Amino acid sequence: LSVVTLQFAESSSGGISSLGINLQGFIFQLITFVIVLLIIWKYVLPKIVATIEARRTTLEESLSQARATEEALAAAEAKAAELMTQARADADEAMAEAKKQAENVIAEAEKTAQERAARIIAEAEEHLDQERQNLHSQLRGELAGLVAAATEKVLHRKLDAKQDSSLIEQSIKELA
Amino acid sequence: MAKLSRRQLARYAADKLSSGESAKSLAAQLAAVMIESKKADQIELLASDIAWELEQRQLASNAEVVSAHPLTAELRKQVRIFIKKATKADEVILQERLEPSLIGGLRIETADKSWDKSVRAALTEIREAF
Repeated sequence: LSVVTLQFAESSSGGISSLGINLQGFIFQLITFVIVLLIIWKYVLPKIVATIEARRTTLEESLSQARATEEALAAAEAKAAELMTQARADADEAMAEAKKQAENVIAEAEKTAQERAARIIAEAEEHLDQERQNLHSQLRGELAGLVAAATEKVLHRKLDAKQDSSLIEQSIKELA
Repeated sequence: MAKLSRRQLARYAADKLSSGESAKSLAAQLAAVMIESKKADQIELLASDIAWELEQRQLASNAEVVSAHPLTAELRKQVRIFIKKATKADEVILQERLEPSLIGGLRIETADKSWDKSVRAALTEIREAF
């Protein structure tokens, strides 16, 4: 390349020199530039490109992670919202169930209380009835005792041997 | 000598009486047996057992008639007929006893049966019924 450039420079030195440009210096600078360019191209640029690429990859990964995180966050929020909704539904259901159970318990308690009250009243009535019957029986017994005692006294006084004979005769007829 | 029970003695006595043995000599024999077997305190029970045996065999009925007033001859006859008919016994022995607390009526007790038609019993029945 340098040889070609020198040949070109020699062949055209008249034109460029007329423009006030040092051809050799220009060529030297051009060669230096090319060398530097080659060095940069060969050794620096790949590293820069690699670094940039790495950076880009990192950024893409970060962005991807960020997106994934965002998506995960969104999903988590959606899940949380769903869970909240479900939890509210469960809570509402539990409340309704608890209310229903409480109503059942109250109704059962009322029923039990009513039954117990009815039983107590029935027992009391039965007890009173029993007491009344006992009293009635006792009074009847006392009355019968009084009647029997009065009858006994009257018969003791009134029943003489003749009347007793008649009574005995009747008794024997009844027995026979 | 094997020990005889009171029931066996009663059966023996009933057998002897039905065969015409004297009651007096039989009573002496039984008393001796009871004393011998140290059962002298059961002589009254033995007499009851003999009366029961005699009544069961329809030989004799020993009846106690309790009343508040003495029985007339006519009533005594009616009572005797009734007991004879009720126990089907050939002979009826009446033992009368007065008990004023009966007030009226009569009570008859044989070895196996009893009837209470006294006023006292009627009043007791009324009391119990109420």
